[in-house]
Order: sequence, then structure tokens, then C-alpha cells
Amino acid sequence: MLHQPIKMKLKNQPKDLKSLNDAARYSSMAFQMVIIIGLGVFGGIKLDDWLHMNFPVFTVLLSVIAVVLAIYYFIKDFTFMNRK
Amino acid sequence: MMRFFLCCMTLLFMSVLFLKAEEKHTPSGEATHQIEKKKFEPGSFMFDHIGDAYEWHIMTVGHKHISIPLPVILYSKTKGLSIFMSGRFHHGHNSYKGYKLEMSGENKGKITDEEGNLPLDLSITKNVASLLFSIGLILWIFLAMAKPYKRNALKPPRGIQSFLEPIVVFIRDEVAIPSIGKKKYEVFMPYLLTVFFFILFNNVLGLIPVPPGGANLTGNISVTFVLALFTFIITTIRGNRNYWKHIFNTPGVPVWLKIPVPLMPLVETIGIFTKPFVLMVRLFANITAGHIIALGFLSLIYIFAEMSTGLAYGVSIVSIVFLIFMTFLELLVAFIQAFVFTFLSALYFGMATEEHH
Repeated sequence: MLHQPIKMKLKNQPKDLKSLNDAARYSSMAFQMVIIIGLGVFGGIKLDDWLHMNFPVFTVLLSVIAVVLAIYYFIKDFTFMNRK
Repeated sequence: MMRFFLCCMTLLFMSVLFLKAEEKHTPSGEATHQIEKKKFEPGSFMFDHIGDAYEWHIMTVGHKHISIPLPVILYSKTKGLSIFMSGRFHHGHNSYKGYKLEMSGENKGKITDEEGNLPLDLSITKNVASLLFSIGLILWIFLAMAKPYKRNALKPPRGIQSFLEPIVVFIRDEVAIPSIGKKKYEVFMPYLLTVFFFILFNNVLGLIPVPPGGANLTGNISVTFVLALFTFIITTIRGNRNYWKHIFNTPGVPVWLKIPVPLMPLVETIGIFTKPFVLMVRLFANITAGHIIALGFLSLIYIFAEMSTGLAYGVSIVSIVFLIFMTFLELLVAFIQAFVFTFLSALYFGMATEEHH
């Protein structure tokens, strides 16, 4: 069993801790967007290289899909977090 | 702050003047040739330091490397198992038992046999040694800390307990309970605490420049991959009916998006993998970036030293002040990254165990 007074001490500053949690959440969402779009573009470029395409069709397609996916996950996470 | 900035600028300016004065006296020809010979490569300097190695480097005096040799364990079909210390390679100058440490080319930094093939390498490298050390340290601290609780849980915390107990309570009250819920959080606490302290200890150990610190363990993508894999496995195993329903038969979405082309299930399935992937990349990128910044400031001194010794003295003061500042910032990042990894893992567990609403 953990000691009670220390818990009380932490409980006295809920505002700071809440903002720390929020900062972690939202920064993670931004990071997620960057990585998904980055992965899409990188995958597209590699695929075009591999298939020796004259026009970088997969780079274009996968970038657009990655942006759409990133926005979709962002909205989904955002609604989930607001529910909590 | 302004005064500090002005001091830095004055120092830099003075060293530039010093450089100009010195340039006039530099004889051309032989001296320039010597400088070219020893050209400093900041890229390889940085990547050698953040990468893994077969020995634990402490320092270099002149041309002599001082390092702790570590065990090399290799297995190949033709030669069987070979175990020896990495000191046998003499920093890549010698080969031993037909194995050699590649110093350039495609397999740079790896051990190859005579034909250039890669054997199965189970060596205790710098990162593995650092990992084992940190595990030992964490076990020692926490087992010692847990003992008094076992005897009498109601006694006030003492010694290291009073430092670590608030962190344990913080993870419980501010990370696990808000993300997972009061009913289910207990099952996840051991994992969340383990992952938090593992990342925190290794981040801080990575900031200590001498052994047993200095290894870029949490900035190694294999390590962060395994940590993210654990979060992925736990999320998948603990995922309830509601979680899987949201993935394969998302409620509130038109039927034509699910049948005949399963577009929504596909998007949601990609989502299962992107979350741990983001966890993996975030920790890796943040810690590696921290190490690169520190090494970058140090490299500046050597880059300027190639131009002039006086300039290097000037730059070194600015560089070291910034380095100290960045190291303090990295201490904060060490804590924040451990917290963010734990917090996001808890959020994913919360998503997986959430009841129908």
C-alpha cells in the first residue's frame, strides 16, 4: 500500500498535471501526422524507383492517401481524447 | 540572458580577429598538407558515437584508444561457435579466428569472415552491455526499495523510497487511472512502471559520457522497436469486443465503405500498426537527436580548430556553455520521453479496453 500524504501533495496541483497530459497528447498527434505522411511519401518514392516509373504516380497517390489517413487518425484521436 | 549573449558574441569576434592575425604568419605548403591529412569528419564522428560498437570506448590519447573490450559471440555453419574478447581485433587492425572487423564498405562496423559473409552475431556489444547494466541497476534499486514495504507498508517512505514513491504514485494517478479507468488500470501498472523506469534510467545513463553510461540505448531503433512491440502485443491481447468491432465493423459508417471493398476495416487495421510505429520512431528520434546535438557542439570545436587554434579556443567556450545547457535540457527530455511513452501506451490500453458507450 502506498503512503497517503504524498498522494495528497500531488493532488494539490491537478491543473499543471492536466496541462502536461494534454501537451503529451497533442504533441503525439502532431508527431503521428508527420510520421504517417513521411512514410507515405517515402514508400511512394521507393515504389516508383523500384518499378522504374516515368511519372511518379505512386509518390503522388501515396502522399495523398497518407495525408487523408493522417487527418482521419487525427480526428479519431481527437474525439476519443475529448470523450475521456 | 542578453549579457550572456553579448559575452558569447564578443568572444567569437575576438577569436575571429585572432584567426586573422594568425593567418598572416602561417607558412603555406607543408602546414596545409598536414591539416589535410588529419581532416576531421563530423559525420562519421557523430555516427560512430551514437552507433553500437564491440568495445566500450572511454577516450583517445594521441593515437591510443582506451576502451573496455567486450565479449564477441559468433556462430557460423562452417566454424561453429567462437567466443573471444573484442580486444583481439585491435580496433579493426587485426583479424582473429578468421573473423575481422570491417572498417569500411557495405558492412562497416560489422564482423565478417574470410569470404566477407556475416556470421550469426550474438555479441555483448556496447548497447547490450549497457542494457544488462541498467537492468541490474533497476532491479537492485527497486528490490531494495520494495523490501521495507513488504515488512511494513504503513511506514513513511525513507531514503530512495521518498524519491521514487511519488513517481510511482504519479504514474498511477495521472497516467494509468485517467487513461485506462479505475476498474481496469491495475493489470497494466506493472508494465507501465517497468517501461517508464526502463526508459528513464537508460535515457539518463545515455547522458553520462563515461562507462557505464554513454551508450545510445534508447536511441537505438531495435530497442525502441521491442518496447513498442510489447505495447502492441498487450493492446492486441487485451483488446475487448468493442475494440475489435470498431476496427472490423466500425459503427456509424455507411455500409458501402465496408462492403464489397473493406475500405474502413483496412484503414483501421493500418491504424493498429501506425500507433506502435509512431511510439518507436518518437523515442528513437528524440534521444538520437539529443546525442547528435551534444556531439555537434563538440564537433564545432574541431571544425574551427582546422582553421585556427585561436578560433577553436574561442568557439570551445561558447560550445561548451551551449553543451551544458543542452545537457540540462536533455535531462528534461529524458523524463518527458519516458513519460510520453508510458502515457501513450496507457492511452492505447485505454482504447483497447474501453466499454461500449
